[in-house]
Amino acid sequence: MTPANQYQSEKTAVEEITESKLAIVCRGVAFTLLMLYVVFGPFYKQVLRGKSNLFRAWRMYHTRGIDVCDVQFYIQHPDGRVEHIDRFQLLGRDKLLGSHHHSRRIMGEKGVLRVGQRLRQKLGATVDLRVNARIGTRDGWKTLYVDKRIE
Amino acid sequence: MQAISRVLQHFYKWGLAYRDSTRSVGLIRIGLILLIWSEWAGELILCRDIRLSGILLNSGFFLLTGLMCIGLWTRVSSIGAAIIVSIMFNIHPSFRHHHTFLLVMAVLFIALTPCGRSYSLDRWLALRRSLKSGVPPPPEIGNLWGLRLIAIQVSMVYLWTAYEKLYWGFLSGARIELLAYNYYAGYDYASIPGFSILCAVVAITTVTLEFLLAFGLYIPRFRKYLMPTGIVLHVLFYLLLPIRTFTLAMILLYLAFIPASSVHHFIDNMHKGYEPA
Repeated sequence: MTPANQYQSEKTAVEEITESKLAIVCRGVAFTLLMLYVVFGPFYKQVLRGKSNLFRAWRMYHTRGIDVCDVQFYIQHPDGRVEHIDRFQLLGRDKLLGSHHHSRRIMGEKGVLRVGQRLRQKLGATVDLRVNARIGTRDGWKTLYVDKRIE
Repeated sequence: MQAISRVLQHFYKWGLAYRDSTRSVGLIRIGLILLIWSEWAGELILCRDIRLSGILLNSGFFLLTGLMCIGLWTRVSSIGAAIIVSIMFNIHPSFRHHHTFLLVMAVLFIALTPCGRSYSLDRWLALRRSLKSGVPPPPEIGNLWGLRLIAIQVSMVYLWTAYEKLYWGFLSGARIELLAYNYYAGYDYASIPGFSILCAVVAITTVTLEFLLAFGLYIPRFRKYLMPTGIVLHVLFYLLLPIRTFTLAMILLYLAFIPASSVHHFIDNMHKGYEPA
C-alpha cells in the first residue's frame, strides 16, 4: 500500500468514528467563545476604544517614530552665506553610524537642543549656529524650529 | 432559514469537524516552542529568580514546554504548557508584546489538537508498540479545530493591523518616513528625490497586502500567490525592523491555511520520490 493510499484509508476510518454529542457540544462552545475573543477582542479595543486588559489590540509600531526629529544644523556666516553641517561627520561619523539607533536618532525638542549644544562646543562660541527641525507626530511631520539660533 | 442552516452546517464542517493529518500541527507544535524559548528562555533560566516560587514556576515552564516540544504525553503536556505560557505572559510585564501574545494564543490553540500524533516521542512509542504487538499503528489523523482557530487568529492580526493604519499620517507615507528616521538615522533622507513618494507607495502597498492576506489566504486560488507575497513581506519586516520572533511565527502559522492532507502528501513525497499530491 502506498503512503497516499494508507493515509486515505486511515482518514476514512477516522471519519467513521462517531463522537458523543457532549464532546461535540463542548467543542462547539469552546470554539465559538475562542473565536469571538480573537475576532471581537481587537474590535473592542480598537473600534470601541475599550480599556480592559483582558483583550488585546493589534497596533504594531503604533508609537514608533513619534517624536523623532529630522534636523538640519547650519552656520549662518556674516556675509549671508549658509554652510550646512553634517553632524555625524562633526561628532564622529564612523562611531555614530556603527552605534545603536538610539544613539543615532534625535528625539524631541530636548534632543535637538542637546545635539546643538554638542555642536556648539565643537565649533566654538563665536559661530552663528542655527537649526531647522521638524518632529514626527501621529499625523506626520510638524515644524519644530525654523532658523533657530543655538545659544 | 435554510440558508442559515446551510451556512452553520458548512461552518461546523469547516471548523469543528475538520479531521485530517496531524503532521501540520506536529510541525507547528515544535516550531512554536522553539520560538517561545528563543523569546523567553533567557529571562526564565533559574538564576534569574531564586525565590522558591520563581524556581518552581520557571522549572514548570521548561518542563512542560520541553515535554510538549519533544511530544511526550503530549495531550497533557501541551495543555499544561498552554496554561503556564499564559501565566508567564501575564506575570511578566516585559513579555507583554504583540508577537508574544500571538505565540501564547497559538500554543493554546495547538494544545487543543492531537498535536502529538506526529513528529513526537508519543508517535515513536506508539510505532514501537504496534511493531511489538503486530497491530497497525494509530493513524496520524485527528480533529484539527485548533488549527482553524490559528487561521482565524492570523487573519485577525492582518485585519486589525491594517485597520489601525487607515489614517492619513500612515497612508501618506509619513509614518514610514518616521520609521526610517527612527531606525536608520544617519543620512539625510529628505534630500533623496522621491523618498516621500516611495514611502507613500510602501504604506499603501502594506495596508492593501494586509487586507488581502486577512481574507485571501482562505481561498486556494489566491493563496498560492498571497502566501509567497506574505512571506516576502514578513521577511522584509524581519530584516528592516526589530520585530524578533513575529515574522517566523507568522510564517510558521501559515501552515494553518494549507490543507493538512497536502502537507502530509508533500512530506511523503519528500521521503519517497515525487508523486503529485
